[in-house]
Amino acid sequence: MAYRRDVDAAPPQAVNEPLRADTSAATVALQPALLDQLWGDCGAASWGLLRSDFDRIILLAAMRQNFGLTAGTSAGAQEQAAFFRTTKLADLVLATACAEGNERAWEHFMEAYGAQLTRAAIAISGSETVGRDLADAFYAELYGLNTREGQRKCPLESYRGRGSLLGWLRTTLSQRFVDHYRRTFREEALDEDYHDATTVADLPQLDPAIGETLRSAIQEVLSNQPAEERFMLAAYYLDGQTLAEIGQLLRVHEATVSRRLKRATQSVRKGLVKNLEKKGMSRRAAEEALGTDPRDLELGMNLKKLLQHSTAETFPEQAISDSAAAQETVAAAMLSNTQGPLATEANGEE
Amino acid sequence: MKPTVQLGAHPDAESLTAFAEQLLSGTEREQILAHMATCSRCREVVFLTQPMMEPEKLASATELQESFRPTPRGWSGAWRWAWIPATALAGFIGFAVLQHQRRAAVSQPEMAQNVSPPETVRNATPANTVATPSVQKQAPRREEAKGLSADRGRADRDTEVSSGALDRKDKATQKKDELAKESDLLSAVAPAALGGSAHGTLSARAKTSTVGGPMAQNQAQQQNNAPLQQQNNANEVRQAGTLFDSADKPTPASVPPGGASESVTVTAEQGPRLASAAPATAPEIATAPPATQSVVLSNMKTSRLAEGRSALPSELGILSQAKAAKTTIAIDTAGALFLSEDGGKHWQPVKAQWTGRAVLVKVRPTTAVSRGMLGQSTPHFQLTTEKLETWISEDGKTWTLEAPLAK
Repeated sequence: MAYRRDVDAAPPQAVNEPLRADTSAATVALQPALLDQLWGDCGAASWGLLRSDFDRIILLAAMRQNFGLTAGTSAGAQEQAAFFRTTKLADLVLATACAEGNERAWEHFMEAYGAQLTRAAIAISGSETVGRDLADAFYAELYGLNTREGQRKCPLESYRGRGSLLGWLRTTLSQRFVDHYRRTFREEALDEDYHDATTVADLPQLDPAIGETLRSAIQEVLSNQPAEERFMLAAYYLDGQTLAEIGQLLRVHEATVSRRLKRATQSVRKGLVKNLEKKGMSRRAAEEALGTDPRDLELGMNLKKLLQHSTAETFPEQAISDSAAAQETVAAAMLSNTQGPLATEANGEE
Repeated sequence: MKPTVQLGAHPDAESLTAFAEQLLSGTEREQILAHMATCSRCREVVFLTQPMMEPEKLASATELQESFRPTPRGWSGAWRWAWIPATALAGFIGFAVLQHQRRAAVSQPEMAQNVSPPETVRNATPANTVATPSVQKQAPRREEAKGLSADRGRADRDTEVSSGALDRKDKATQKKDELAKESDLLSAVAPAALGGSAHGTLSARAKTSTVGGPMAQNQAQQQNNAPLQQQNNANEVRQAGTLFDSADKPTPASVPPGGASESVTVTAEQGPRLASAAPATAPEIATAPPATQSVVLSNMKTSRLAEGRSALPSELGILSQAKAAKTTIAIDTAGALFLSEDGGKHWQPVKAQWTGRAVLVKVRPTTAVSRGMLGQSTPHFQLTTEKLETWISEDGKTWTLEAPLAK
């Protein structure tokens, strides 16, 4: 009887206890019922993931993101469930398992995303050879062949399951390609036309005072524009993206993009005139300043030419300086275009 | 989600992917857009990623947009609200069809009658004596005549009027006048068996011994004189044919001997009613099957035809019948005249003393005006032939030709 009493008095089995992990910030505890539900929804058992590995991956993801809450905030059961509902759980588990070197996970990953990734690389680079090379290099990087400080580094570790894994792979591949392009662009010889076009000595000189006033006015007016309209202006006037491409990215119709671009252009022009008048210029002088050749502002470089001045490593440092230059470039492009986005696009197509 | 974009740094691939997949919240999306407005590298990355996402993302985006778009759900979805007017229209059509069928059943003989030329001859006899119970009985008779128009509401009203006449004698006369007017308006169906040879208007008036009398008879006479002046009235012509079977039918149970009082106005038409069934020279009265009449007439009338057909020695249907005192005369559809002195149980043929066929018999009381004194009248039988000759008889056996009235 004493033995039975001891048994009865024993604490509950570990199976019924929540999965806990103590971190420096807070204690993360997942209820077994939630884990069972996530295990069923994930479908990781189909490609051979063990339940113990799944629980560990889930707990790790929860600790790393703190259920999407700010640091130090403990999540309740509903917040935990909401976090996992908004997370691409299956992709997250697969990516984490691949990052940990799970062979079954890699087999499933290559089976599910191998061909798609190769096609994406070819599409990004525009060349099958370059695309395959890009894809192979990315596979090696994903597999963790790169090491940092003696440790295997896998880009999949940074995947948090906010977007789809395929989208993340494509975006990462695009980043690799853009970085590679920027690194190798300087190695290409510039054509003579470029030299002719960018010869500063041949450009007419602008009054430095007016140029400085105009530059500051442009920055001020553009900073007051909504972020989406500034993005549209930059994508349309600097990157040369079409209305359809911009509309596809923003999930709006191209006519809407055209309308908003036209409205933004008019708003910028009005703001520029008002700003220049505030700075002491007459209205006539302000109108004449708007008709200034953009090349006089020494901002006539193409965006792609501008890209070569920055690399992936130097982006954080150059971002602020580039943003000011980009704003001026946008304004200069807008100043040179008075017919509106649709007319510009039509002329470009012709 | 925590914002992952820091000032001066590029957003990571996770955030750019979430932006391209429209998964970011408003604040985080604004941060990404603000960064991409000045960062050509991130714009380039996003636009490079976009065409590859198109096959999958466009499908999901299309589904998302279509979930908010009021897309038509096929023909049933587009017309999902049309069932209300459609149901109303179907109900209206069904009601119209029913009304049309009901009216067509009534108006078919009317149309047949309207084909005939409006050649009329009027023979009018004033009303005879009055019997009290006949007030109740005459109203249903009139209702039968009117029942051909299938107006039950009006029939009910007639019943109410007739019942009210028993209780309130003062109103009875007024009601009877109204009924007489209504009877003029009734479009009773002439039996096809008549062949359109004789038509008229009969306004059966019931007068009690107390209600009736000289004044009532004068009223009846005056009311009957009005239709007499309208010889070419088609409604009167049609009703006469109907009343051959209804108004003149003997009612031994309700009408005491010698108490039958009917104010009869007859407008007879000469010539065929139907060009096909009744030629102008010799109207085929008997050739028209009584069955046609049975279709048109009410069930009660059909049963009466059946009874009359079996009662007469000729085994033909009773075309017209009149009763005065103990004597009842009737003509069959062949135009032969029969007489019964025992209330219709036994019939004996009466030799035709006229040329042509008899088409109508009725009781015509000799009015006070004609006799020069009020309140005294002797019932006479009146017989109308297909040649529109009027024959008078007191006993139903011996008939004398009456001179036609001057118009």
